[in-house]
Amino acid sequence: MLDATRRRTGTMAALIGADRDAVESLTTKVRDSGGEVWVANVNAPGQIVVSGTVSGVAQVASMASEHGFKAIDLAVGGAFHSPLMRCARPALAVALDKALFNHARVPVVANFDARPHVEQRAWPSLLVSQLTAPVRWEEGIRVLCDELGCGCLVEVGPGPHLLTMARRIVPASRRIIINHPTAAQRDSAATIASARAAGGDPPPTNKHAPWSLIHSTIKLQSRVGRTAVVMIDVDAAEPLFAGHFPALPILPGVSLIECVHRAMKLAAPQELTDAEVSVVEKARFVDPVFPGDRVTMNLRWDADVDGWRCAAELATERGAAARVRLRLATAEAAR
Amino acid sequence: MTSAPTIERILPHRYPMLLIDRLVEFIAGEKLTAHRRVAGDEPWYESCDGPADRAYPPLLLLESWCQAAGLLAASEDEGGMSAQAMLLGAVTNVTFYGRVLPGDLVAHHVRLVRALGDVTVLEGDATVGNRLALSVGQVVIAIRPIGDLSSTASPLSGTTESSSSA
Repeated sequence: MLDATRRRTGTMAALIGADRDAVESLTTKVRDSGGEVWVANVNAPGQIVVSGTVSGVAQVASMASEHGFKAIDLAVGGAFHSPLMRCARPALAVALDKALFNHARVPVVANFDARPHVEQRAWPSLLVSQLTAPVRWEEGIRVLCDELGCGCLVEVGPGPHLLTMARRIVPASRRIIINHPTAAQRDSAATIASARAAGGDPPPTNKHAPWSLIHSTIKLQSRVGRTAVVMIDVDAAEPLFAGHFPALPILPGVSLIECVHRAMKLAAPQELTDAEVSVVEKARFVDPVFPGDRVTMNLRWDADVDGWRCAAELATERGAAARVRLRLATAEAAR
Repeated sequence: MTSAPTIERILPHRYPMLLIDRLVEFIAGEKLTAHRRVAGDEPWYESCDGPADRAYPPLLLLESWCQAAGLLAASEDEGGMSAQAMLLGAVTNVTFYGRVLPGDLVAHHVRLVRALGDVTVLEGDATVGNRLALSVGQVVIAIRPIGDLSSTASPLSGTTESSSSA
């Protein structure tokens, strides 16, 4: 980016009292006469930033007063968020391709499109696009507050520039600034909690938790000696179904092994309550399990010279679904 | 080298069940190496009983390995998997070694043993640095059109090596 600013020198200016359409028409006019200037930030009502060559920005600024708004030069090193940054795109794309992004636990609203994202793979292209495209800050704040229901906005950093803009966009929002590292550690949790208590923010929802089959109900049906029957009702609300698969929800095979593991924890004979799975010796999946299915597991524990095993037969209402045989490691065997 | 979008083109899995980050070595019909970074903020950690054990759930490690295997099993010229389901048919002798923790970069090594129509047999292991984390004696993966699978249809009449899921 630094390289791009050296190759194509540029600057930015804030237009106070302007609306986006008015500034768009000004920049279009300047570009039609050969200048280079674009809308770079839509920050808040009455605050639009333009970006471009020094002369392009100056031309827009010179027309500001006749349109009833005021131009303020910004002390920046380049024409950020404008096509003048284009030459930085390839290098940034390479760097972002090497960076690791994770899926978001809560949606993250991108400045590029003012839309919430959770998919990790969306970010490299969003960030590359942002180099040469306007920051849609006002719209993004509205999405946070109106669409996603955020009642409390927290600015991290020296501030309070962003919160000042946020107040203009959503006057009713609750706003907190965290601008000191130790204060952040000490106070942020308490501050945010108190904001919530004051009715600012709804409690967070762990939309993707719990994982796997943890919240599907599992029940011990019967236990006789070293055998047991355990049932699990596969909850259609299990989060994994969203991704396995989008076209047709099917319980992953490994989740059936996990069902056996849970059943084992629930129903193991006394001497095996602390046993863990050391080897999946064999698992065979003969019929898919779908959301809403009731899976009945018949478990049997046996010991031989190399230790304990748990064998399970799994069936749905449609018939056999899977057979699983696990080798167990007990604390005793480990000693 | 194949980048992330290709993984999503081949695998029908999506968040939160897409458990492969990157394909680092790929020889069609023979072998591949794929990476998965275990991040501490993954959703399943929220439902852990407590912070005491941050080990990655071993069966998710296996699922992640099976997805790497699925990349090798899927033939690229089929033009995407959106209408296909990738199903785990069978698993033999899978051993877990030690714990995999948030921050670990897991390398899945997959070798193709044989391919018989829509059924592929694979083997391999997963390592964290120089340490073996998982060894997979054998995994059978079947690729089936979604249309053949439905909760209302009669039980699958497929081969003995067919169906339920990867």
